[in-house]
Amino acid sequence: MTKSPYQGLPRDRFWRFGVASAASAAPPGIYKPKWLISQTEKVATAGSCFAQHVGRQLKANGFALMDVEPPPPGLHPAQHIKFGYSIYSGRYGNIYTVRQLLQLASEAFGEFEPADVVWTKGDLFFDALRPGVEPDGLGSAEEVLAHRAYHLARVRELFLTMDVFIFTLGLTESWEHLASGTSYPTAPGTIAGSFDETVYGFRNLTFNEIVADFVAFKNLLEKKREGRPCRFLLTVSPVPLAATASGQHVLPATMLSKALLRGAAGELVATFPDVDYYPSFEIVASPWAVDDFFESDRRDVSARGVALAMQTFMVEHLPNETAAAEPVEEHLPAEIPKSEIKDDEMTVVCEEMLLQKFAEAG
Amino acid sequence: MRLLIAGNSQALCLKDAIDANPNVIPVGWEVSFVVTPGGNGPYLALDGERLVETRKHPDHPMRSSPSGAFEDPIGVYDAVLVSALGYIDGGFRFHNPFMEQGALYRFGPTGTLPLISEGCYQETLRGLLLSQPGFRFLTNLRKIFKGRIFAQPFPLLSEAIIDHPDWRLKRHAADPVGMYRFLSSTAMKCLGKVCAEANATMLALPEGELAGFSPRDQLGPDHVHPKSAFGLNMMRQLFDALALPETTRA
Repeated sequence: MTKSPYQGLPRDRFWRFGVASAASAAPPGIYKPKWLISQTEKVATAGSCFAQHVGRQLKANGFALMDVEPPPPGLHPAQHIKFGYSIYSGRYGNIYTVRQLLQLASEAFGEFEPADVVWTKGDLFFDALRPGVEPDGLGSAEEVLAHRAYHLARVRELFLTMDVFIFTLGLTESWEHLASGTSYPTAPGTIAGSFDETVYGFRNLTFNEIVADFVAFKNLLEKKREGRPCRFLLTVSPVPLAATASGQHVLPATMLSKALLRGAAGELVATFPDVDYYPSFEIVASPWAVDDFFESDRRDVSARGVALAMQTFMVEHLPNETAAAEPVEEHLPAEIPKSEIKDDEMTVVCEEMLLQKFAEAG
Repeated sequence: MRLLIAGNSQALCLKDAIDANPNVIPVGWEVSFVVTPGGNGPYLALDGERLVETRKHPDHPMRSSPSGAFEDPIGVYDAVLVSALGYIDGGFRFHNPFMEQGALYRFGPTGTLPLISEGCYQETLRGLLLSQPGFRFLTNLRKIFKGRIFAQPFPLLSEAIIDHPDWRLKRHAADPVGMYRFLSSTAMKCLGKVCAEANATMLALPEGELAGFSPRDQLGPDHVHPKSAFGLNMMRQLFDALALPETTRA
């Protein structure tokens, strides 16, 4: 008797049952973790803008989210984000590509020296590798380097002690220093610095480069941690590109980027037992997402989208508790009226959004 | 006419000045004191027109002079002096966490505090000051009180602190003088802004030979609390200003 390999598969393997007739907003069974994250494990987060939501929700739901560069104790919570605090586990700002991540780790362990680390804007000096963390800049190049040295020491501590690393893959497009390959989170001239086509160039990372960079990052950590285990959870940001330098329309450029990132994540999950993938992209932004989870600009993820993505995560990792159905609102001191503070959950720092003003000026 | 001095322990030098120099009070003026201990105060609020003590210290209760002054509604006064605002550094004697928010590169960080930027430290300090009960009292006072309001800034540390081996700031900066000047000027600007918004007059502080610090002969042995000469300076400024017609409020 002929037997089909599809016979007997769970219902969620079939589109008709897994998506088309799914009763809930997130198709049931869409996320089956390889391994669970306990609330006692040290969790570190990094990545592109969407990763900021991940960190907040994890912390709000009782996970041991690391923060190796906490804010000054007296800095009001409403000011944390302005100075790059309380966004990720370190004060590295948005890390949009795996190449950036690899270079950060390599630099922290003394195996890479980035070029052109200090950019200027008027009389002010900025760390080119995290230009958004000091909105007022610093007073000298030496000060930037001193701050960076402190930051790298903290990052080193993070990478050596974390148990789980959650990384949101954001972009494939990046700008780099041509001679050294140093990869920057923003194009020179966006926040600081000045673009010079003889010094800087555009790179659109390929599938092979993304996979290779992540493997190199993983191997570096394994070496430095001397075999102490660490697990990696990848997500792909559902947020489209703010702008593309690829020469294409931004929509196909976005689809290409996301396809490459999703493909690379899939490759890494299939290759390594300690790498898993969480489908926030599929829940929010796949063409078959069950609902519309974007704001009117078709780019910002709505609060409902964030909530659903995180709820689906929490349901798996906190099976005995009721996960928050809505984004958890941070509690702020009573001194400043809440009306004067932006909704912190939706205040996401994204240098990419700065690119939009260049389009408007044109 | 009546003047209320609502203050923290900094108001003691004003009382000493008045007791030693009663003629500093012009004819026709009466001065009342309501004071609470603690440099972040006065720990007072207004419930309607009534003063309310917001923090009771078991060993150092609120004091008033005359003894019933605390009971008077604020409306009986023609002017209020809030004494003193902007406490950021306790010198060697008092611990103030305002000076331990982080290390600043420009002043040669020592110790173990994390490196933070000057912009971040200024923002932190402003937030801390605005949350001090004394600042909140000043802001709320203007919402209720129709008379003239004056603010006495917390005195700059005495010049003598520079030679004191236990000045806490020395643990965090190779250049504690520079760091103190930077942070105290931030505090003064913050107080100036609050006074402007409350249409309050900020009294001027005397400086010693070393810019950014008080004359050593005007502060006591803890380098934080002034002597009566300092208080006399403040009272003279206050009554000179009261003698002038009030400028039109914005």
